Amino acid sequence: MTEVSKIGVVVAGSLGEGVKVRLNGTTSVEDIKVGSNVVIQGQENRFFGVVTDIALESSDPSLQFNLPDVSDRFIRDALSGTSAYGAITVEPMLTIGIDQYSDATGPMPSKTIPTHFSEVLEATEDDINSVFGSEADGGFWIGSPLDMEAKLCLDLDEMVKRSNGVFGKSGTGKTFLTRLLLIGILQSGKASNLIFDMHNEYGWKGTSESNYDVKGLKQLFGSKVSVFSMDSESAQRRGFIPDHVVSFGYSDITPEDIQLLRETLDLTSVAADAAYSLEAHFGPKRWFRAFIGMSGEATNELASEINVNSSALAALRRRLERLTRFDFVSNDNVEDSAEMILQRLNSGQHVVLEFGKHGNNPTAYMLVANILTRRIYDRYQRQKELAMGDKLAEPPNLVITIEEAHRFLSSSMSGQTIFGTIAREMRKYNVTLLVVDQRPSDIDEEVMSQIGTKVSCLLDSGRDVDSVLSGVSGNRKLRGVLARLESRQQALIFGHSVPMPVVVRTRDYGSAKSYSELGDVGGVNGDSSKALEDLFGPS
Amino acid sequence: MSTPSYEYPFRIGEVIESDTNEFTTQCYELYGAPSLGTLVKAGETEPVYGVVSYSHTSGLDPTRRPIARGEGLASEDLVYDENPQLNRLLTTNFKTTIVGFKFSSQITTYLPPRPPRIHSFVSQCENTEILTFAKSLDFMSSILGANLPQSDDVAAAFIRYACQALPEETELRVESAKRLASLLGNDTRRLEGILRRIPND
Repeated sequence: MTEVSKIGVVVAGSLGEGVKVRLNGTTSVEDIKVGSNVVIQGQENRFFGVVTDIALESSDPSLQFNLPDVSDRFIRDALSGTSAYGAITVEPMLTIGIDQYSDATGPMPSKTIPTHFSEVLEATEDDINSVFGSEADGGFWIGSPLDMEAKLCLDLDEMVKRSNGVFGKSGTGKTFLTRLLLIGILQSGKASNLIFDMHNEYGWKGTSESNYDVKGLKQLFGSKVSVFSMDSESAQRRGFIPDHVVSFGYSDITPEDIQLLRETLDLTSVAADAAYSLEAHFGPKRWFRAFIGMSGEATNELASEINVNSSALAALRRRLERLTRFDFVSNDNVEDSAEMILQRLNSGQHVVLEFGKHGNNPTAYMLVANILTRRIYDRYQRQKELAMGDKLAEPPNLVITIEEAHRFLSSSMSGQTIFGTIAREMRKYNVTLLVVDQRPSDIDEEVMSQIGTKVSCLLDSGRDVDSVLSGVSGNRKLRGVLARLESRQQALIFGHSVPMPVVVRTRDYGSAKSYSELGDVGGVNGDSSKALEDLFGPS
Repeated sequence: MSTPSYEYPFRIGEVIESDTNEFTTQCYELYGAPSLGTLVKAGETEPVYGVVSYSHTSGLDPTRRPIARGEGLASEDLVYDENPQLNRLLTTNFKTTIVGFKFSSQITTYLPPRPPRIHSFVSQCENTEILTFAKSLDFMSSILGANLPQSDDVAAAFIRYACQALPEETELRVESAKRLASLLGNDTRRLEGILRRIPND
């Protein structure tokens, strides 16, 4: 869109409530959508704002009681835009200075509002680029603003510095958005990714809402991505061979894991705490094997020996037996999967861990995610401390993607799990989270407040909306925007990687063109003609 | 009915009474007053413009009332044919609300510093002049604000007259209606009443 269209003039307003804009006679309220972007040309500044409310107003208060004959087109035409007019409320978000000095500083958060009768224009592609940056500046094209074709970009540098979140109720495109964000990080090489792929959607291929297959990261980026699987049979059924099948030994399980699994294993706090006593008694790494191997009588004796309620200890043993039934947990000395994943990450590769059939079992998912992440985090912490400020020796940034994040980050859990620690300590050790969740209200408030960039698809529940928007300035107005998102391909993005909250229509993913744009251009599968061939067969 | 003189075809009459807001014109011809809402000008080089807002016909001598003369005659025209003196005894005057003036060949749409002189010639306006006033409509507030019984009709009549005189201005009717709507923003009923008097021809 190159043509600038004027939509109205500022007639009232305040910094707190936003400015009121009277639409000119030629602009219909139906052409304006809440959440769309406008530019206000003030006297000394250009303001970049978001439409937060749309209203029908009238200069004659009695109009609604004494209805004129609107069946007469002439009377209707005369009244509309004059006595009866449309008005919008615009929240000025950013100030774009007009002089050269401000060109250098870029857009600044608005600390004032435009004067009376300032002209209001639709935002153009240039405006969007000057506010959000462009692909040329290293931004990642995530989608377009509402009703525009301009490319809206995220600042990935800012993004990987902090933990981020993707929220939205089921079926609103969280997975698609997450996949896009991961691709962005992959393309730019700003960080390594470790993805806990609960539903096998990221690694090899995924399924869109309309049930056609879309390519996963491995198909797009080839050797840059390693797919680890918990369930090789499931991978084979889906037609590919994982790079590695993950397994764990009993020695990998720690009392902390048992704390995390307390709810899913239905353990009392006494029983869960008993694991610490067991660890103290048998020694780390050995306690699980020793405890599981015990007979009922021996357990009773042990209970009195370590001073734990015997029925609690028996319950703990019964529940822990469930863990031994997982085929990825074994008594033997197994290959150190965590170490292998770490090696790949250190060499700049990206790792997707598919759960296969275990994806539906929260116990398995949480156990594995916790064991791995703890190991990785320990290693990163050590590496980072060894580097002691030597930038070159520092471990590369790592982004860990977790789905169903509220299971790890609920208020009762976040203090105990490694994910809570990562979310809080953020970037100190170059490890951040990409949290994907449909119930953000269940995530601990403290964790939510540390999330740098939030990408939110449609949310229905008031509690979820509140928790996503907590701490954002102008959140009352954003509520309206968030609640009115379309249920697909639309998201509200706010936080560190965008200068202001913005609604985007996420870019296309799944077409041959999108693959050629998103794929790894220099990589194994980067050849776009090959992508086309993969999709449609040789031409 | 009016038949302008051959030499000065656009001349209608002369100003016989004048004040800041309006002037009264006596027509050269009996019943020669322009239609309600017509734009006329008084004066030659720097004329004052006005919109016809009232007209009346009566006997020249206020002490002599007209009497009925048509009993037994077949038509009204015969009354005048058989009494040619009536054209001299009766006279038509019209009042004009002043809406603007010309100064240094520039038309302004607000009141002139002085009203026109008595005996200024009053004549019809050209289309360019009508267009200037129709586009501005600034004067409408003084017509509507005069609160005469006929104010609303004068306003509607002017728009009708302008649309008729300027058929090439296709948007004039709706544009004028919108201007009126913004003037009468707080009185939709009155506005609707005026708009109903501007039918689409």
